[in-house]
Amino acid sequence: MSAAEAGSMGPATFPKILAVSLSILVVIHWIQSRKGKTMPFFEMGKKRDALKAVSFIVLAFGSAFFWESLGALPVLLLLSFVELTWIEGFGWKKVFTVGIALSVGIWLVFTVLLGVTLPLGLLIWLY
Amino acid sequence: MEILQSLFVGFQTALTPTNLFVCMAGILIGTLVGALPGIGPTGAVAILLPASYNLGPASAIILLAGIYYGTQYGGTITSVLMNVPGESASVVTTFDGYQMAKQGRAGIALGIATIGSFVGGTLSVIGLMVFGPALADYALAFGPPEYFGLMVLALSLITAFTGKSLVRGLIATIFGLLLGCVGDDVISGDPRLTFGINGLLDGIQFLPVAVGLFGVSEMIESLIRKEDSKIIKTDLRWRKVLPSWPDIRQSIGPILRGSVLGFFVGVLPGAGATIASFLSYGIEQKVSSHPERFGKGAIEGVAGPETANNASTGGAFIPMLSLGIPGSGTTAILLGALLMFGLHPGPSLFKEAPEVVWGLIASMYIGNIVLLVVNIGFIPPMVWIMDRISPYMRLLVLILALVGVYSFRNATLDVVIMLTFAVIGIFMKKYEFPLAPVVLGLILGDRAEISLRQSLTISQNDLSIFVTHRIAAVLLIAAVISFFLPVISKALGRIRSTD
Repeated sequence: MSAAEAGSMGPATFPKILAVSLSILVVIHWIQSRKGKTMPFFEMGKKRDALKAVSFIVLAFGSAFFWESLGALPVLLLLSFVELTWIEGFGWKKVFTVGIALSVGIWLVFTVLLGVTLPLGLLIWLY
Repeated sequence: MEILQSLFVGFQTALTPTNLFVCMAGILIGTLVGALPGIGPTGAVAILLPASYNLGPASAIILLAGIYYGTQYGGTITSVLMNVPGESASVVTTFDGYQMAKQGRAGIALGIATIGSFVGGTLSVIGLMVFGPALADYALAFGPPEYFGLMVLALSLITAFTGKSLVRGLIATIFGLLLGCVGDDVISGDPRLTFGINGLLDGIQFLPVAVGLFGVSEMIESLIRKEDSKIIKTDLRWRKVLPSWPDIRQSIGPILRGSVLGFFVGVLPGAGATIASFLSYGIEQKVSSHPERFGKGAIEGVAGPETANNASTGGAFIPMLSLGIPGSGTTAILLGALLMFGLHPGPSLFKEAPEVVWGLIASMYIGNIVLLVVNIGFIPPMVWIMDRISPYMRLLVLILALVGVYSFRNATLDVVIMLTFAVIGIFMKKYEFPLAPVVLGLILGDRAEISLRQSLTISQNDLSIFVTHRIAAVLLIAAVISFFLPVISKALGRIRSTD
């Protein structure tokens, strides 16, 4: 039976072909790993470093969650302070100077220099 | 003659104050990014892509291209001074470059790498100028079956030559292709794989995926991976960086060989600066009359690979600009940048937007000269900046990623997608799944599907169209061969070792 008799290629055909192929490959990969072929062990390293990585991810997702409600600049400032203190372990002086410089600097580059609109959030009272 | 006229138009575009500024900015950023271990050219280009959006297509592509070939220069600095490659194409430079630094010849290593990079970069731009338009003219005759064959070839080459396992490469590629299916179907308008989320009707954009996979995931991984390296302190003023005549005589051969090798390797999708540099090192070792010197501070071991990795950048632009087929993760993002501006890389780009293409080519000539001057004369301040920035890289990259990705469409969903792919990227790297095929599959996926469906519409659903169109048939056969090439070469290697 030719493809013409089967019907034309609709929107669902390509994803179906890909999904079936992916499933077969995943099974092959699983069989290979069971047979002892190279399957790297997921090493998270020291517990403390793994915790820092998880904290970084949580911090990043938290920033995205509060991005529009609090505003871009407050979120960036908060993110900088928490990241530099908790994850990088810097002292308060460096945290404040670098945190403010980076957050405000990048915010100014995007909003003033590049003309990008970022959410104001808490700073809406400025306008 | 036509090429020279087009190049003149290109210089008119490239020499405007804005474009000169963005060219230099891109080069400096690229050099610093290349010097800083952690984030590579793909991540840097992805992260700065949203920032370039307001510059216009010519300026944006000049900036991003500057970052791309700038990183090839910058990666040498940490390879030589710290034995830590700034990016993957500079791994080979650590073999002999760091040894030269330990012998008090760090300046010479950096100097010859810079000169070789300049020669390789300039010759490859000449190659791009000559072969690019010729290939574009040839490809004007391509129809949907040929384009489908070309995309299958590009995907199979990337799958076969990236990563350690063919199966994992295929999984990554098909994953990328599936991501490209998310959203409204272009032909019928039916939503696909959106799971009821309205934000996904426009599909998953390549930018958040690229920034997440290549940029943010690298920063998260750096928290788990600990690298403690010290910079070798040495005099790097410009007089100490200029090589002597005996050094130059020893390096001429490797530089010329590296230029040719790097350029042709760069043209191949899947191969790139890293493969070019390793191949060059292998060749220099083979042709040398004293191969035992390699690994102990042989200047040829720095000159050849550093030339090859820069020469590959010009070659990599040829399939991207002329055929619309990116050959690597970085050129995939550059291709995505052109698509963002509504330009269609491929044969018609040279006719539709000559100021963008020739402006880019002209800026590469200018950029290589600037890089020569900066890397000969300003290495000490660059090392100083590198030293100051590296403790804050993670925060800097995260802030740029958050702001940049959000500014693309003012959609928080894009930021969430970016972070999700950052986490996916960590696991992919840990389990040795290659990342480039995912981005390539995402970018090429819907174009491949459209070409396939158009071909079947033309042939009234007769698959023999891919056989009767000879170019399409050749491309598909080449795709199958390239796919099985690593398997065949492994099998041959096993047979030889048992003999």
